[in-house]
Amino acid sequence: MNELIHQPTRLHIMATLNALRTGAKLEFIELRKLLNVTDGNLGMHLATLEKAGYVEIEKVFVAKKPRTRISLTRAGRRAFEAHVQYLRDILHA
Amino acid sequence: MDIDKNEAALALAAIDAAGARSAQMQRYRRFAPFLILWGGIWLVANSLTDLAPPQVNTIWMVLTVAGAALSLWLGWRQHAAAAQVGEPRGRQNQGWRVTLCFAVTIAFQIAALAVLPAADGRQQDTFLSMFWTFLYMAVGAWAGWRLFVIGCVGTSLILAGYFGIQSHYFLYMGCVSGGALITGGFWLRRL
Repeated sequence: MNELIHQPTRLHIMATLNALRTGAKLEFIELRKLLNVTDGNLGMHLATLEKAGYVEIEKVFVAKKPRTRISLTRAGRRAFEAHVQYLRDILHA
Repeated sequence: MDIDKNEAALALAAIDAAGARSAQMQRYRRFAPFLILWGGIWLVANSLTDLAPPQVNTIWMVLTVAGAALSLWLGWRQHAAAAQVGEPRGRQNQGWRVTLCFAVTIAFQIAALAVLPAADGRQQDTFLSMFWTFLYMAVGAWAGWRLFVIGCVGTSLILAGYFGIQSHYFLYMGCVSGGALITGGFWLRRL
């Protein structure tokens, strides 16, 4: 089992990003609203996922305002799909 | 750490719910530009109809063709963006499907007006506008409740205007009906 992904908040982050089209990015604020978590909590879990190579965090400036965009990496998508399959296997065992 | 069947089921349900919410947000975002575009066309076409009634046919023909062309462009842009990031073909085609739905609907409206007994401009405008708002309600039943609400509010405003407004009905339709679509489009873009 992938314990890194299975943590509830990270599982929500991965599921939300996995539903986006490949390569699509989600703003930090949008992700926070979708998950209903605090900035600090989301930031901490994103850092863990980024360290594992599952998400890519991009910081850009739009009209002089900083924006943080998050996307799922190929490795992240593969790991998430493998975890979902693991859960399904348990359910159907 | 091992987990049991119950925990696996809960985790899968959480994944489904998060994925569904994310997918709904994407559907809203794909649909929003079309709603804003046609809200703008409704606003301009109805307002001009109120100001220059003799030019009604030209106004609507030019703006409908412009709207159809811009819808095609929006569909093409969404298709191109999806293709660029290597999105699966089924998802890539969604932009074209939305555009095709608009084209089919416009064709139906033209055919319906040709077949139905002659109606005055007010009736035609109401019929065409109401058709779209009912369609939003029907699509909303599948795509998301916000679209359903937009259709419901739009239909109510159109009917209220048709039965309650006697003078400057087209101006009312432009500002209220078109304005409602534009507002609805921006609402769809918000989380």
